[in-house]
Amino acid sequence: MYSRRLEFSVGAFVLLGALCLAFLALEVSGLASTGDNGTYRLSARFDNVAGLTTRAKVSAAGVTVGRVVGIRYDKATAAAIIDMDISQDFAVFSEDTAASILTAGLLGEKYIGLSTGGDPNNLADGDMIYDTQSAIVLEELIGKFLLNMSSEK
Amino acid sequence: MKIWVATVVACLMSIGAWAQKDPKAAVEPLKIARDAFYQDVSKFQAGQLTEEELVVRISEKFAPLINDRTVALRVMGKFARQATEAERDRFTDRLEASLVDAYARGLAAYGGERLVLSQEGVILKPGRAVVEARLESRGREALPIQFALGFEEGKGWMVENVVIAGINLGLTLRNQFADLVQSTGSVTGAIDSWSFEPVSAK
Repeated sequence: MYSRRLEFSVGAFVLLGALCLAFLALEVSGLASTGDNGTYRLSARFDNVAGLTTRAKVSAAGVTVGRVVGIRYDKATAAAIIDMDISQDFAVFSEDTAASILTAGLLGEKYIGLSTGGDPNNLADGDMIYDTQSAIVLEELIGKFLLNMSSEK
Repeated sequence: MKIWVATVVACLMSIGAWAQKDPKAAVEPLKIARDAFYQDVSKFQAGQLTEEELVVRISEKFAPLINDRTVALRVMGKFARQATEAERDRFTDRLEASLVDAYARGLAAYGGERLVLSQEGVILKPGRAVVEARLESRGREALPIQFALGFEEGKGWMVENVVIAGINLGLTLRNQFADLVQSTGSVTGAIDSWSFEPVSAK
């Protein structure tokens, strides 16, 4: 009797641990849902998306509002186009919304930050964000710094 | 008579629609302003203009190039929707004056830099374009500049944003405005304390 209760407790504990791991995996990988009312698609044009991956977070004022679902190269403009699925709960972004590629912490993962503008019209499904701030590439920054240092000497 | 008026209107509309898609037309206002600036600088260097006259001339030529209302709403960001119409108007005037004055004074301190514009812009969609440029100065790496332009009926292509060496100026100003709202506690306070210092290319 005692043995069966112990086995049951151990089993329940292992199951709980597995559930916690699954929850953690979903949260970290970005597979968790961002809303219950469906999504709409927005795209953004960036000159450089270095380090950004699909499933990366899209946030506004620190709140996750969507996910990156696609990264493609536009031959016509030689720029990267990011496709994002935004939760319908957050269909409030103006047409002059700006999108920036940001880094969580110093060495954290890249994500997209949306900053809404003042245009009275809102972005709708399929719209494109043109006002963007590309990713900062550390190697380019160091290169510019070294070049400026050498030209000042 | 009515047919003639309709024909003229249709022609004007088709010219407008054509201009919105023409990549060369997007570069033209920037070229005109740049060349006029070089002429004024030559006159200033020849002693035909005082520094104050040069600043006024630059302001006069660059002000019509900037879509001040669109830029102001962009800079106000999320606070534009909370602001009253009077506050939006007041900030538009204040921003235009500060931007034009700051850049006119910055350009008046011209040190021989050359603004090289691309032959044609990139039409992102009808009425929206990007023009690539670079600022060349002796002994320094060329500074890449990207002008974001929008087409306004009756006014043509106008500058709505500038990205200098990857730094989005519109977004930087939006963050500055948001900081001012936070520090002053209101949109009115932010408008009253608004000032702008240009980034020096030197």
